[in-house]
Amino acid sequence: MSRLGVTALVVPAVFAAVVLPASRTSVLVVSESGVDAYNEAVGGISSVLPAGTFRVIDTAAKTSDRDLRGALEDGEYRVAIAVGSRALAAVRAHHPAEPVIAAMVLDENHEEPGLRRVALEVHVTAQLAAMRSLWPGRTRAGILRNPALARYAPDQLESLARKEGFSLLVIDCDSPARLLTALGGFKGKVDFVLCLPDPELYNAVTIKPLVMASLEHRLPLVGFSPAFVRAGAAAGIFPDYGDVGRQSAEWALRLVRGEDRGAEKESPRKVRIAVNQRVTRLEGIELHPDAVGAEVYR
Amino acid sequence: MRALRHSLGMRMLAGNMAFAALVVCGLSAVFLWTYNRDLDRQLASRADAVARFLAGQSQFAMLVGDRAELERIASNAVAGDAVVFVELADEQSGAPIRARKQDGPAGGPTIEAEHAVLRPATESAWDSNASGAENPRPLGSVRLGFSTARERRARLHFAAITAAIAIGSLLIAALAQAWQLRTLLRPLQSLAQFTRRVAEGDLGSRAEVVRPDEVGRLTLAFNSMVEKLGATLVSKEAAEAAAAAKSRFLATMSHELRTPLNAVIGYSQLLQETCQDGDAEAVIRDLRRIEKAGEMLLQMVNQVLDFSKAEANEMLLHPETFSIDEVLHGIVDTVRPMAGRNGNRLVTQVGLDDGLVHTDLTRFRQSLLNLVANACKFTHNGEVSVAVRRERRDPVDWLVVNVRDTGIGIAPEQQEKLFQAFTQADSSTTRKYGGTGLGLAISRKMCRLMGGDISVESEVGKGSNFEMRFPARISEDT
Repeated sequence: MSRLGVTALVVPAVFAAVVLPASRTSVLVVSESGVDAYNEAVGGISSVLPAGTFRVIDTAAKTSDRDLRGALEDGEYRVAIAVGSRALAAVRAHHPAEPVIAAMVLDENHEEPGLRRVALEVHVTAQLAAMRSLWPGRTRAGILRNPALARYAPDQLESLARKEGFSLLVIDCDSPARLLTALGGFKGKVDFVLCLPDPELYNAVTIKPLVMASLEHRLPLVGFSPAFVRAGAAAGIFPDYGDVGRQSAEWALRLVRGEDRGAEKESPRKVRIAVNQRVTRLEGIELHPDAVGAEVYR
Repeated sequence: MRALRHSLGMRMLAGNMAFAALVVCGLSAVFLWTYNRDLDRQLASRADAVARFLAGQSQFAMLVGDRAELERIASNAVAGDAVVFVELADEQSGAPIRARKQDGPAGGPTIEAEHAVLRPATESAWDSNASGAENPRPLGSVRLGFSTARERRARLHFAAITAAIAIGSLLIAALAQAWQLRTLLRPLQSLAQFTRRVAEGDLGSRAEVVRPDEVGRLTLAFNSMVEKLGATLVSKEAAEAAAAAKSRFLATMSHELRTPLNAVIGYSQLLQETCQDGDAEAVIRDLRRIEKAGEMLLQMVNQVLDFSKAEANEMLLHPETFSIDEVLHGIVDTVRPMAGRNGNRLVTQVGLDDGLVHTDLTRFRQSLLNLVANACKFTHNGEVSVAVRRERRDPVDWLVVNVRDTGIGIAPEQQEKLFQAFTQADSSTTRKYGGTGLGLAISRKMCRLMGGDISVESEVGKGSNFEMRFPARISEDT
């Protein structure tokens, strides 16, 4: 979804939420403006929740802390949706009694009572399945695993890959300093490298040398966000952020209506795939974006 | 322009200041040109460095087609002060990414810089399209506009400071030059004033020497020249006065000589007639008159001869011992008839223990007789006294003779001229009283020849006092 489209959805929602009387609202949405993915998620939320039943607080605003404290202490909200890790931290800081749904937040591998999550990660099997369609015949996959954040052990990951028909090489890397060395370990052994969401290994500082190294070693990277693909990953498999927002809003409505199923986590329902055509050309590979309806960045 | 033509100082000041202005302006121009050239080079270098930096920043984004990153790079570039606009052209995508500064000096002067974005050179040819000589190939280009507004302000500021320094320097130089010229020309102006005074006839003053430099030496030379000029003028005036006096002397002498000659001729003719008549007494009377006229002629010729000898230093003394009393009485007897004719009383005062003197009797008598005769001549119905005394001033024993009269007196300005040859007090005196005008000049020369002198004190209308002073004894070889 384009930035303009997201803005067109978010702005009326915010306007409606702000100007409508507080007594009719029941869902508090806390987000951070300026991040495209969050804007898409908030757009999805506002497309599901009836107008006037939710209020959006922007953590980037100067009055956000006061507004958030006032809203939570009044107790008029029955559910809060935190979009993004900063919004979740702001909500957690007030220890709300009401249930909180975290959207667009990475799984930190520790549960918290009362916290529900719509997962941001696309499961490894789903990613491998998408890659099978995107690049048929390439079954050698690699994963850079950060032992501190990984949910799965290497053998678990290999088992999951085998079930999808892939051979998987897992190399542990616990520091950005060893990232390029670890990547070099895949050279000639795998067809592509899956990059699982990990802010410690993949960030603005490491992305450029990582991509350069992938080009050097002809190791196409499969990223976890559109920004990663734009920054040089050959392809990207990531949730549909608008749908994550819709999923979160539907969960909130169920909580308001007392129809909660008791789950603490839901996986994203819809996956988007993107291809950086320039990088694939540089690496001399040919993907098939049409086969999976992937977005193509030229 | 008039001042330039007529004033050396103004010409020097104008010339020096023109030269100084030329030098200062030239140096300022070179200085500004150098500054501007260096600034332009710096600007070009900075713009090129920024373009190169942006190319480096854009390289990866262009390589992987990250337009969002390129937009971020472009917007960050124009967020600074210097870059006015940026154009990032990615060869593999469509329209270039452009960003322009929205505030600040967007419309100001700019220079442009452009830099190619090249594909990174790597050890392995990971790009299947890049190999061999084609590596590295361009990915795109960076073009930017670099603001020069700040540098333009700096240029103007620097030019203003340079101009102020130049003008200040010229002013200081002009003041210093004017002061120096004034100091230098003041002695010249003083010298010019001095020459004007000299031209007006003031030969007595001298120009002040301010400093012992060239002008000082010129002033000294001027002073020396004026001194010599004064001396020359005095000599010239003296010569002219002498010539005039001689002319007057000739006229007077002609007249004086004609009188006795007329008498000689007249009485000679009369004597012839008387002889024809046979009157012997009348003949004798006329012969005496002829004799007297001859004596007068002889006296005048003697005077001229004496003066000529004195002028030629050929006058010789013949000292002898004689009694002053006898000489004085002889002189009084000589002039008594003249004194009587003018109604004058003639008095002598001789107070001497020893009346003997040893000097040239003839010269003494001639000098004293001239003084006493003049006193009787210019006094009417008054008194003429002759007083003689001795005055002892070691080692010389002086004889002092004062001839006083109560006559017409002499004006102070004429007293000094009295002793000059061919000169009497004034021309009217000559016409009234006659005489050659040589008597006092000859008397003084004789007195000085004897080692003495004659001086005069006089007051118009009250009389005169001539004092003759000479040693009572002179040596034989004088």
